[in-house]
Amino acid sequence: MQYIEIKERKNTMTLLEVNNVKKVYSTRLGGNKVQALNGVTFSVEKGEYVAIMGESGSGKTTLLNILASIDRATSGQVLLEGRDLAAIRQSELAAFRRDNLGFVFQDFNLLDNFTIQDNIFLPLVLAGRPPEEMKQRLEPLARKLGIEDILQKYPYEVSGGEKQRTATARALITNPKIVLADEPTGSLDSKASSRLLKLFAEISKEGQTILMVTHSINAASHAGRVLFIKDGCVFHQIYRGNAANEEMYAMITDALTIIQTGGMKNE
Amino acid sequence: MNKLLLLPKLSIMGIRRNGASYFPYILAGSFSVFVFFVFSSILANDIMLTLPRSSYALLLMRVGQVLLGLILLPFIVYTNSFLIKRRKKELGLYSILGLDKKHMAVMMLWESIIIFGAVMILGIVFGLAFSKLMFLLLLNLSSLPVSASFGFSSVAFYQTFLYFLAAYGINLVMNIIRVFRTNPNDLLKSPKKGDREPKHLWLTALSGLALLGVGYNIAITSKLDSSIFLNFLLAVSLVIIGTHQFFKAGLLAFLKVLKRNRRIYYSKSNFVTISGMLHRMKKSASSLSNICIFSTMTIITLLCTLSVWLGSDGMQDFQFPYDATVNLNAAGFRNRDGLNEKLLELADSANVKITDRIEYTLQKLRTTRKENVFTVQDPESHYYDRETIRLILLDEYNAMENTNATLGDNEILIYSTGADLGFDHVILGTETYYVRKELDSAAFARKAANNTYGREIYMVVSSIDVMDKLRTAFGSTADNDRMLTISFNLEGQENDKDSYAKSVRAWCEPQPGYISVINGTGGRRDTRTMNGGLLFIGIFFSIIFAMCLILIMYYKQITEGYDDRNNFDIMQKVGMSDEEVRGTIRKQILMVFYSPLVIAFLHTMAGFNMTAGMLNALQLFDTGLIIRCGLIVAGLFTLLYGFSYSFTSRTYYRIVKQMRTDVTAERRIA
Ligand SMILES: Nc1ncnc2c1ncn2[C@@H]1O[C@H](COP(=O)(O)OP(=O)(O)O)[C@@H](O)[C@H]1O
Ligand SMILES: [Mg+2]
Repeated sequence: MQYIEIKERKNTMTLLEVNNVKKVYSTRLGGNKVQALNGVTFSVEKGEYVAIMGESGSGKTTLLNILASIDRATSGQVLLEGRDLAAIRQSELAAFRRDNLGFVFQDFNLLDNFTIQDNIFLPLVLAGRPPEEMKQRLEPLARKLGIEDILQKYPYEVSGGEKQRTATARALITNPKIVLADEPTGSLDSKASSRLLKLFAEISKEGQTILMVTHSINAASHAGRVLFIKDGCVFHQIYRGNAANEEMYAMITDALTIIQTGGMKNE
Repeated sequence: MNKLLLLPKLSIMGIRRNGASYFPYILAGSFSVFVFFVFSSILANDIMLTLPRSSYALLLMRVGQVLLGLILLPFIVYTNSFLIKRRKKELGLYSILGLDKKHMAVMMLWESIIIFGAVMILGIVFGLAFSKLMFLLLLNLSSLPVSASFGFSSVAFYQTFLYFLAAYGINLVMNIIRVFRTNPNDLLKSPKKGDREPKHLWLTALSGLALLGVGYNIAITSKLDSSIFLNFLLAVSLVIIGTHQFFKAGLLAFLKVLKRNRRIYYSKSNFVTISGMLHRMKKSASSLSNICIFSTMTIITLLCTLSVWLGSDGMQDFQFPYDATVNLNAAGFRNRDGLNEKLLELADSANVKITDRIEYTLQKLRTTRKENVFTVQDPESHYYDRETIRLILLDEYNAMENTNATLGDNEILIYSTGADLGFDHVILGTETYYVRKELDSAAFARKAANNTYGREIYMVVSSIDVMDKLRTAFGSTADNDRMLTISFNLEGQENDKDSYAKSVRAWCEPQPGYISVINGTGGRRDTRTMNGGLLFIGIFFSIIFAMCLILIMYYKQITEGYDDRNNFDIMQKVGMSDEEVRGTIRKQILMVFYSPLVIAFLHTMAGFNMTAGMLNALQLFDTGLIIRCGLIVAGLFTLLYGFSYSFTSRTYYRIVKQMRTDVTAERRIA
């Protein structure tokens, strides 16, 4: 397998470990079975910015949902800071998710009945934090994301880029261990996309661990490492090293061409 | 595919896909057809005309049919408007896919035909199967002779057909108008905007409260007189509009106050509830108002029905305390001994026995009254101020009551069949009479404090001289103003009593000085017949109102379920547990769902006086009974409400629960 093992492991520590995760969907009537994930293995170090690439239908969202504990793996293991997600009781899952994970979705998933500000507060409200603390946490975040001026508006009154920055703020306000993003630029135009990606890069630089699913090369080229999945498996990965975004872009393009021509599967 | 086939096929698919909302719609429509058909059949059957004493029942059924027509039409139109609104997306999709408006209109036509057909067939089939049973129920409730010949009536069928054709025709027109107003964009930009607040929130809230206040005031203070029906309608309309205003503005104001308090608003259990309700307050407010109004209607109808049912005996006794009463003109009737003989002789041959016999002379004085001053009746005086005083002689009174009261020449006993008069003296013409005692009961007439409309005043005077003097003073010298009254009860079979009273009347009628013979047995039966008709109508109307209520509740839950489904999905992703979702929903329910019930109880209490007043008009004076019925109905209704709540909210849960699978499925399609 083309697995560039550069396990330097200086003083980094593993935050997320995914071991041989499989997922089989069976349709409700029990007939067809879909093997969405077929033994995914990888790990994410603290502070890393990882992009996962793959074609539509390759199982990216499925993987993310499993990492997010929204969905359960059919087999295999997911460890967050050494804790097995499967061992968390159903009743504690929501709280676990709220305290440890932040989400950004392609279609924003903002609630129309809340103002932008209240949307961002939502996880804190669910965690039972006092209003003063919410305010304190929001201020610097809103400034950083450039959404101070729209806090009192409703989602249907702001642009897509603003919505996604709101969703990002909502993901970050709980200081999550890891931010999981599912095609965050998928619904944005190129200008809003690059603004968001720049933001992700900044956040990452500040030490935030990010795992982003995307099929945009441009988006992936901002990440520190890119994993490619195909047919439910991690097929290949690229480390940025010291490369600039443009070089990274070229590396990803090359990798994708090779994958598509199907050249290098199995030794 | 052939277009001719495609359109009806699309219609059927449309109905089936929206089964959760169309199925109850068709069911409710069928039940409406059923009830309408039953009423029409009973009215249209000749047999009804041939039954003795059926005229009350017939009249009531006719009123019932008209009321049904008035209630069902807006209900059917309202539910349709709800259904078609929910299908905006689907219609938009069709128009994107290239179905032009004309074809969509044809599709709507097909849909209407299918629904109308289903509703008519179901309703009429059940109607045919059960209308005879319902007819027998009516006869039984009305204690009319049971008659088995009750057949299908084409007139009833046509009436039902035409009425519902009109109702569903209106729906069709509304749907077609909506189709022509839909543009494909509606699909793309799904309307996520929240409801805008009403412009003048406090003004609306205040006007709502003011309308309710005025309506309540009319209901509470209105007296039982000729304008009661006008007052009733006025109070009802004010309260209905007021309720809508109140829910619209009151709910919003309440929510805003909650939202302003950050500690309350930003708490796990309130956050979602408050903002969700603010978001759709308009729709919420209107369905809550309708739930409240239908609840009130159900409660009051049930209250009246139960009261009439349980109070029927009391009503009959109040109207007809004796099985027979013979009224004769004291001056004209000479054959008193002959009468007594005849009464016994007829009783023998009719197989009944006379008991509790009383006999007394009664002198009427026609007066105009101002407080305790009674003067000779002024023909110009207002109807309300006129009063007929009934004088009774002391010795006859003592004989009837088995007492030995004594009176001076200027002393009287007073007996009012309504509220006590409370006078210590009265002035009759020019003379003052002191009231020795105001009586609580008397053998010759029943008393009820709330009897206002038919209230009579009796005065017991010491001697025939006083009676004569007053007769002259008031000029009440017409022959019929002095009556000899004989009342008695009978022992024996119901039918024998009835025919005995009739034969007494037959004998008396040709006698000089005959005034009237009151047949208590027959009269009570008439009352039972009328009450039976009322009960029949009451039962059906209660069911209809409850049906409207449940359907509106159900639709409210469905709509909100679909609205909320996406929200709860997002919130679960962001970290809300199943448990918390449940808790939030429960909270929402507690805060909102029971408010219409509480307000409906308030409405009922405000309307109690008026309701009791109308029952009084039917000679049901037992306020205690009405209150007891009110409590029973309140209890039963709370159960019904709770039951239909838990049933409809299960639907809500189910919709919200399906969220994950469905939302992802939708996403994959999009
Ligand atoms: N809830 C589900 N039920 C059945 N099959 C599913 C479900 N979700 C996803 N799949 C299938 O699993 C595969 C992977 O889907 P997904 O993870 O959404 O891919 P991606 O996000 O990479 O486009 C697809 O074949 C999809 O049809
Ligand atoms: Mg996906």
